[in-house]
Amino acid sequence: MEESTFKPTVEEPKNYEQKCHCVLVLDVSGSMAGHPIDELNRGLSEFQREIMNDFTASQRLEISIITFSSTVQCIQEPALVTDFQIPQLSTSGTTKLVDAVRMAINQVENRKKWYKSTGQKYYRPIIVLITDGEPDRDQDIESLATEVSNGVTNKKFIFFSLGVKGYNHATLAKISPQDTPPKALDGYKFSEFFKWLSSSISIITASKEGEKIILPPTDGWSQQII
Amino acid sequence: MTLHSSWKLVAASVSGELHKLNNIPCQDSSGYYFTNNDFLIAAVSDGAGSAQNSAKGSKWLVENSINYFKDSIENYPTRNQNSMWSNDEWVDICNRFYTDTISKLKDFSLNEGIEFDSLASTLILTVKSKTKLFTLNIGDGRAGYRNDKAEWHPMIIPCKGEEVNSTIFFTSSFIGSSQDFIRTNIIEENVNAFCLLTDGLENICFEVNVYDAETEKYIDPNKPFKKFLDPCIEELKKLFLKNLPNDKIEKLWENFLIEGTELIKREPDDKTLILAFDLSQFE
Repeated sequence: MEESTFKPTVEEPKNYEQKCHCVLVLDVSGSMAGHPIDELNRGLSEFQREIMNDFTASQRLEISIITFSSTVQCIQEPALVTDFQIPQLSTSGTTKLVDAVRMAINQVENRKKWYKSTGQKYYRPIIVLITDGEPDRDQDIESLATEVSNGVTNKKFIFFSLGVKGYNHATLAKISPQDTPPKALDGYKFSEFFKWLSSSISIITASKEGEKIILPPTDGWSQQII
Repeated sequence: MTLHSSWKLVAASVSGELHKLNNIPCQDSSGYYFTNNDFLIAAVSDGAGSAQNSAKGSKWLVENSINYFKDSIENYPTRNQNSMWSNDEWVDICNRFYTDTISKLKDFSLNEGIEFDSLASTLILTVKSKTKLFTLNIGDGRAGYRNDKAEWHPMIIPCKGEEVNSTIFFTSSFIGSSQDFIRTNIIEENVNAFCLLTDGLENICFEVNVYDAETEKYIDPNKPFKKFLDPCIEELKKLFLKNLPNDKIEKLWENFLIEGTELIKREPDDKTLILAFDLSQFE
């Protein structure tokens, strides 16, 4: 007897994907020189590959990159990962961490305004801070902590922070929201971290507002904070 | 000819790619029922992602909503189908349904010993009479109908927030006007097919985010996609005309929603689609 099948010849509409903006705020101060910056560069390239292998994420995720040392620079404006080459980072100078995170907060707000003005739908933006150092003495940690806390509480963005060998945990903990305290990177496992970030973004972009989001375990790249 | 004899339906809810990877059960639900006085009721519900008991919530909501309307319709004083219901009557029925169902859902959460909010789910429900299509929606998802000119039109406006993934749920606190929270509509055209779906399939079955060159903006036309829906009906028609048992047809439909196309296969969210059509209009 002939087996029945169901294979309609369908077409699908050309819907544009909703956008999720993720800002990477990266410490390129002198202390990151050598092995750490090499591993960070390698991790970033793998992050791009991971996202490109995930069709949905590659259509939804817009990355921008802000680096900080003695100065703060946006070296990559928000763009789909398919539309740019991951830059090679080099190190120098000190740690203007607060200025860099502020630039990221402004950037996510401006991007949201642009999404709204062009009628584009968007997910809550994500700011990811990676640092190995102590912020410069002129950096106002207290007021940044308030800005980050207000931003997260008012659902303006999601904030993750990652401390690299030698970072000041107390300072990073002060900046980070209580729900997402800073994680310490185990050695220089940036590749593993970025794999986790890529999976986490897939979960975030498939979640509903107000949900308790369960992100993948971090034991592949984070170490216990004692 | 009765609705029951001429209308055919397929309904399935399947896990999205992300839930499969994380071993999370499908949190969508769907169901339908033909009343003994020839109305067709259909409902879909999307349980809120990782809200702990949303799979239970969406299942409960679909079953209880269908039962509520079944009882209301079957116990309604005998009346010509053509005169049921006016817009005011339908709004009133939906408001009473909401009040009654919220109260029962609270009892259910107490009996089960689970948090009320953990049952968070959306709802789209439709009642088809011989001449009209009544709809109710709380939250997002999409629904559309096909008229006798073979045109597809939307039959609900989903409730979406500023961010893509924000919506309201049946369990959400009542904010703003009731008309904005419990959205109702009545279609009075001749309808020969309709679809109800959760947002996991909206990019596939609807135009929801297209670029308008004139305004240079992205817009949500909320338009059912004919080139997807019509071929599905055509193929389903063949299966029904072969008199294939319903469970076999539903299994084929379920498989289609799992991996029918590359886009369907890749969808991370759970997927539900009820497709209903009047077979006599497609022969």
